[in-house]
Amino acid sequence: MGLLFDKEFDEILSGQIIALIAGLISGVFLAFQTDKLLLIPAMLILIPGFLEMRGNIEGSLSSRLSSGLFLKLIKPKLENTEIIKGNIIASFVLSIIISLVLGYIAFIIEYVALGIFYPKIIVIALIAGAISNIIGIIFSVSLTFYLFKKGHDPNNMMGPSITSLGDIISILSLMFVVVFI
Amino acid sequence: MSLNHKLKKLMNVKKRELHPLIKHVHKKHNISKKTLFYVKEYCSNKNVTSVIIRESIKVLILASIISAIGGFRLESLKDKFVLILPILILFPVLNGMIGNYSIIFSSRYSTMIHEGKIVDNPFKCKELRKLLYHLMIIGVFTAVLAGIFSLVFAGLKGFDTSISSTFNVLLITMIDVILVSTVLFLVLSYVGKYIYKKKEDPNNFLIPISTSIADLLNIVTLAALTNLFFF
Repeated sequence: MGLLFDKEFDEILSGQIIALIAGLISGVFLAFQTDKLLLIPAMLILIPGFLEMRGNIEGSLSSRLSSGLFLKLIKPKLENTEIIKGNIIASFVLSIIISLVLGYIAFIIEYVALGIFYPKIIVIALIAGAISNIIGIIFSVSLTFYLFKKGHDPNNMMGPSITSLGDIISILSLMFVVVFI
Repeated sequence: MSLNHKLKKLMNVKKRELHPLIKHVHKKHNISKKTLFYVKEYCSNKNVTSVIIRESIKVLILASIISAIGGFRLESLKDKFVLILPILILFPVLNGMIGNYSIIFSSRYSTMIHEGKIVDNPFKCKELRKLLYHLMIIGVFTAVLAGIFSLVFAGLKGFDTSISSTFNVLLITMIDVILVSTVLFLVLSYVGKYIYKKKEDPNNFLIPISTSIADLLNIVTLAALTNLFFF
């Protein structure tokens, strides 16, 4: 039993507790803003993919930067080098494309399966995707460099941090766009 | 040929080619294969953005479609779903948690495959079994915590936290985590082995796809259990 509860167990547990707290914050935002957010047609089709996009795009960005840092091909500071610039631009372009794809899928499913015509969901997905990804990319790049400078392996810590913070940023940006559009 | 010249040549090698130069430079100049792979993939000025977009776009679109299928299930049950506030609060929590488990499992399992620790039946590997115990114990513990907190927050918003609804929420949370994690780990174990047999790196496929499958399974299971226990 002692062998089971080792350092590895503690590392996974602490990461999951952070994810749990962040998830609860997002869930509470969702529950307390039900009228503004969830009653919008197709919003629930959009949300799972929208929340997941952050981890998929920014998680990979952080992982690529970490590899470059360890291989000493990238310096841990924001420089105008082709690798850093290319990574940031690619992540942003991907996030815009995927936001549009998610918006279109949500619109089409809602229209075809439920007969509700609501094209505004595409605009909501696009703007909220752009806002949340700008914040998410800045956070991912800065934190990856910061952790590396402090002697940590960003690979071990960025995954739960990005997915956790990403959930909160995503829900807040969706709420922001829904309120202001 | 100088090292600089060799590296420049390597940058122009097409993505799918495992160029013999990598082996040659690695042996002659003692530069690790990982570094050379990174140089080949990302160090050519014209390449970085387009390489990343080209390699990621297909799997990201596939992940979006899988997530939207789960979302459609939620949308069709929306009227019922918004009434059970603890489940609504639990939805991003469980999605995130199970997604994290699948990422941990995928990356660790891929490393075990590369290290030759998975030979025939994946579950005969002691290290994998230990990882599964860890994930299951932590999964159930955090699920119960999440269930309790969701009930507290839902209670603050006026949800009736009677004994039966409290019991139902906790039961739904535990069944969801155990069921989804078990199915997910089983599927990923065999898919990972299959991908490795096809001479592909399981890391590149398992991680992005596992979070989408985790999302889909979680949504479908959560919706079915909510329907079963509350309506």
